Amino acid sequence: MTREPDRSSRQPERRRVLALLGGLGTLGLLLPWLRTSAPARPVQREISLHEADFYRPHDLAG
Amino acid sequence: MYGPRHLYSRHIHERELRFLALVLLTGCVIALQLGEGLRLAGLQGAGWRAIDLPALERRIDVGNLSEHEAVWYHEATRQETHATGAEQRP
Amino acid sequence: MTAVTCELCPRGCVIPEGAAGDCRIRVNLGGRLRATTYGRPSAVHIDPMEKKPLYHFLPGAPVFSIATAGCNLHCLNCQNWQLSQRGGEEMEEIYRLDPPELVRAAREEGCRSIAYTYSDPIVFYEYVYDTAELAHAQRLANCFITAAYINREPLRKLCGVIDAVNADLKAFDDGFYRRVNGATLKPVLDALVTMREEGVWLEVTNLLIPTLNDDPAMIRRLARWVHDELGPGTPLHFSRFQPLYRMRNLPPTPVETLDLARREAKDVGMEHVYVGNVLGHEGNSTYCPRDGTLLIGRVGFMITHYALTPDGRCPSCNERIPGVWRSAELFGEQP
Repeated sequence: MTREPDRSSRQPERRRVLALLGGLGTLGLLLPWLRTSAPARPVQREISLHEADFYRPHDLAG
Repeated sequence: MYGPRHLYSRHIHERELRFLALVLLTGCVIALQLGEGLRLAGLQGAGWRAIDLPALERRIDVGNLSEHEAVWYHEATRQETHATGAEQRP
Repeated sequence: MTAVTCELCPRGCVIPEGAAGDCRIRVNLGGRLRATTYGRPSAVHIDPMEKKPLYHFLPGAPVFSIATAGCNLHCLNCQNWQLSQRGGEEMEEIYRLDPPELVRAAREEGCRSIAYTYSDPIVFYEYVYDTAELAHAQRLANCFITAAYINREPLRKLCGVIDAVNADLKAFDDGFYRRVNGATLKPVLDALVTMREEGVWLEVTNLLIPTLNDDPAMIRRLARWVHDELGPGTPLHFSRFQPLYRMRNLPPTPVETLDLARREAKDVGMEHVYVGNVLGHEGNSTYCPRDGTLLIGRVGFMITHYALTPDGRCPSCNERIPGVWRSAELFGEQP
């Protein structure tokens, strides 16, 4: 009959690694959601007619 | 086996219970999430969208958006309101 | 709390106070429906008329092109989703261009026409209408680039101030409209017929997406419908799909598919069938349907050859080519 080697001494270390991975995973899931649910930013650029370049290249269809 | 049988069985039993509880909890969270998604999808299918109203009002106040009155609309009838879930506050 | 029902498009959104319609920009504030992007476009550019694409309407003219946020369709392959699938409060860039300023800016830039385009201008209807009225008063033409998902009465009124339309007929299949665009086919067909009845110059675009709407039988049905209901002289553009937005899993349309579509449409009797988004393709150019003379040569949006007579006829056989070739046809000769 073989006995499993005693790994109990390494368990706290593993627990910390797993907790860290879990925490990072949760953050990874939550961050995009937090970003999109943040209130809309104010207008970054209100373009006046004087500074507007109507000929600047764009990739809008239509 | 690696130890007295009764100890081993109790150990598995406790772990399984904890695991099952976790699975059930996760299932509940997923169900709630899906339910909310379906509810929102149902409401959007009814033709309106919740928007960031404070942001909209702020932009109207500073003139970056307009409150020009639209044409082609009427006050919703009770029947229309009820049929589309529009009596709910967004 | 007063909900309102929007009557502009076939969705007929019933909108509670503080919420927007499906288009995101028509908002119920205090029991009144507000057009929140009126006079506040987020895209303003000067494009060639060929980009719209309008090939039989004032060829080569620069057109002052505007759009606000919002759209009443939600196409999975939308090329302009950063504009169309957002509300006004989400836009980073805003111009303050109320109708008088817009018309003045167009004139100052030397444009004789204004295009309401990029997103679907149906959703900023009031802005379009007021601008178009002012533009007409100053002899500027109005072009409307749309998916034509609009109710008949608002459309009839709008046709009074619009001179040219390029309408996207996305597929001749209601299931496609439901799955890919979040809309339905019948109102679009009805709107195209209304535009034709109202005498607006009309061109039709069909974007061919591999495996979804490129079945030759469907293309043939679409072309036959355009032929029978809108007329064989209606320019029909088959446009090449590029993988974008939520439809990046499909490849660009093969040129062979576009060639096949062009042949199908010509077989049912369509006289002016074009291929779009393929640089240098012979289907970019206009030919006389009677004797095949090259009338307008195009490479991309550039005109490389122009042989039409001033009154829009083939110089070889005198065939009248349908279209609006000079602004005098709209407003009479300049006094």
